[in-house]
Amino acid sequence: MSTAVCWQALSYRWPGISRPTVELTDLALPQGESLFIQGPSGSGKSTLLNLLAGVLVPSEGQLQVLEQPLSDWSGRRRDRFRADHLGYIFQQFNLLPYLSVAANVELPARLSKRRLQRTQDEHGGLNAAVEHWLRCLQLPETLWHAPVSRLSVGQQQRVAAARALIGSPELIIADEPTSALDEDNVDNFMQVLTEQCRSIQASLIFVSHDRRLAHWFDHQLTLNATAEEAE
Amino acid sequence: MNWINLALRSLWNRRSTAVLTLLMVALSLALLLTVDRVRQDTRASFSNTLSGTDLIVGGRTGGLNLLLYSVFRIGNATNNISWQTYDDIRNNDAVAWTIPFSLGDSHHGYRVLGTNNDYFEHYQYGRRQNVSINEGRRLEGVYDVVLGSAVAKALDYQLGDEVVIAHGLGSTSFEMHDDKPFTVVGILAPTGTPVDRTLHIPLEGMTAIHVDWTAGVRLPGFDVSAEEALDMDLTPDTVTAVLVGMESRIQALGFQRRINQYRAEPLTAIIPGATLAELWQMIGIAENALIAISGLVVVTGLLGMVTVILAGLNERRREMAILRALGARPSHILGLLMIESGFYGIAGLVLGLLLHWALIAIAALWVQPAYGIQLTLSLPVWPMSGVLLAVVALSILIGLAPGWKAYRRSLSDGLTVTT
Repeated sequence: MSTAVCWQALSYRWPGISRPTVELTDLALPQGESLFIQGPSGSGKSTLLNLLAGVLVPSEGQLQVLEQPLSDWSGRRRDRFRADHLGYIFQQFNLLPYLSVAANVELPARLSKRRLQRTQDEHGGLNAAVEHWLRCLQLPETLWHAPVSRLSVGQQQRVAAARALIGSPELIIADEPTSALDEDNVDNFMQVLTEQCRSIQASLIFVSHDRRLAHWFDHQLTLNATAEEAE
Repeated sequence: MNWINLALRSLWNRRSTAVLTLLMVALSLALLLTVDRVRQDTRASFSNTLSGTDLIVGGRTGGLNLLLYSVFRIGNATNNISWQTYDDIRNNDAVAWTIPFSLGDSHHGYRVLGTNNDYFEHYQYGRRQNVSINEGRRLEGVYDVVLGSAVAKALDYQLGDEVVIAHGLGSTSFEMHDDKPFTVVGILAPTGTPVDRTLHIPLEGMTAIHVDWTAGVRLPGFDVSAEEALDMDLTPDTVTAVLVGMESRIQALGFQRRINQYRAEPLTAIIPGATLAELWQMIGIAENALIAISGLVVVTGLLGMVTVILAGLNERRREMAILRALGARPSHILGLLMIESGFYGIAGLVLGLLLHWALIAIAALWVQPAYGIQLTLSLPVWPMSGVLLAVVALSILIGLAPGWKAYRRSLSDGLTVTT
C-alpha cells in the first residue's frame, strides 16, 4: 500500500535558532487517508506544512511525500511537484482579488499541465471541472463569475477548497481553514471537504488548534509547544 | 493564464496607483521627446530660411543682430546704409547680384519688406529653392504688393484687394499709411520660412508712403497724394540691409573684410552660415541644459516607478504566498515584478509618444504662425530612438530591485504569511 506522507526522525531548525522548531518521530500516512494535526500556536505547525509542501527541506531525518524524496530535489523540482500534486488551503484570504471566482479555481490547472490533463480526463474540460467543483462545494451559481470581494468568508474558503481539489491532486493540505468560520459553517465545510477528498482518493492533512474537529479524520497527531521562538 | 497576463491583472487591481505611475513615466518621456523635437525643428527651420546668399550687409551692428532682423524678421535695425553705398556694392566686379531690403513697417503684425524684383530672381531658401509666385505676378507698379502665403491665408486676401500699411511694427499701430493703399498683385507659394509672413512692396513704394513723413511723424499740412508721389523721384535714400551673391564664393571672405573697413560709412558684413553657427553655439548651451533637465526628469520618473513597486510589496505578501502555494517558483515572483516595471516602461513610452504628438500638434497651432517654425510629428530617430530603447530596457532591469526583495521574501515567508 502506498503512502501519502512518510517521515522518520524529522526535524527542522531555523537558521540562528538553537532548538529545532519541528522534531517528530516516525509517521506513515497511507494514501487516501486523512490526518489531523493538532497543536497550540508555537508548536511548529506552519513549519511542518512548509516542509510537507516542499517549500522548506528538513534539517535532519527522512521525508517522503507521495513516496518522492523531496529533500533530495532542487527547489525548482519541488515547486513543480507542488503545482502538480498538492492542493493547499490557507487559513484566510486564499483568493487572488484580481481574478474572478472561476479564474481563481482554474489557476492550478493553468499552472500545471498534469492537472489540466486531469480536468480533461475526468470532466471533459477545464470549464466543466470548474463548474463541477464549485457545485460540489455548494457555491451558488450566481457567484461563479463574481469578483472575489462579493463573497463571504465561508464562501471564500469553499472556493479555496475547490481550487485545491481541481485537477485531482493526491494530497490536500489545509492550514486552519475553519478558524475564521462560525460554528454552522465549520460543520458544513468539514463535511464537504472530507467528502470531496474521499471522492478523488486524496489524502487530507489538516492542521488546527481546535480538538473538536478530530472526529472527521482517520488519524491524528498532537504537536507540543517545543519551540516558542518560531511563529 | 501566463505570467504576463497575471502580472497585468494584478496591476489592474491596483489601477489608481498604476495609472498615476504610468502617467509619471509617460510625462517624463513626453517632455524629453518634445524638447528634442522642438530643438531639431527650430534648427531645421533656421537653417532652411536662407541659402545661396554669400554675405549680408547692414549698418554697423552685431553680426547676430543683423542676421536676425534681416533674415528672420526678429528685432529691429539700428542703422541703415545709404543708397550710395548700396550702389557701390552693387557695382563691384566681384558681386554677382544683390537684393536690397528695406524694413520697418508692418501690416496687422506682419512685416513689410521693401525690395525689388531681384528678390524673386535671387532669394533662395532650403536647398537653393527660389521663391515662386503662386498667383499673380511680380512687382511692377509703385503701389503693388506681393504677399507671403501665410499672410494671404491668415488675412484672407485675394488678388486685387487693397492693403493699407501701418507705420512701424506691432499689430496695433496708430499711424496708418492710409492715404497710399497698395494693391495685391501676387501671392507666393508657401516656403515654411519667414517669407510666408512677409508683405513685399517695391522700394519706390516704401519711399512713396514716407515722402510726407520725417523722423517718424507725418508732416502737418504737407500731404502728398498717391498720384502726386508718382511724379517725384522715389529713389530711396537708405536701405536696411543688402543680401549679396558673389561671382565666386572664395571672394566672400575678402569682400567681407573690405566692407567691414568701408570708409564712407560704418558697415557690418556677415557670412550667414558662420553667424548661424555662432547662434547655435550660444543656443546650444541652453539646449543642452534643457535636454539634461529632461533626462533627469526621466530618471526621476523611473525612480518614482520603482519606489511605487517597492512600497506596494508589503501589501502583496499574501498574493506572493498564494502563487507560491500554487507552484510558482521564486524566480516567477521575480519575473512578475520585472514584467510590472517593464510594463510601466513600454506603456509609458507608448503613452509618452502619444502625449508628445498631442503636445506638438497643439503647440504647432501657434508656433507655426507666430515664429514660422514648422513643428513635425514624427517617430523618434537615432540617437533618440536608442535613448528610448535604453529607457525601456532600464525600466525592465530596475524591476530587479523590487523583484529581488520579493524573491528573498518568498523564500523566507514560504507559505506562511501573517497579514
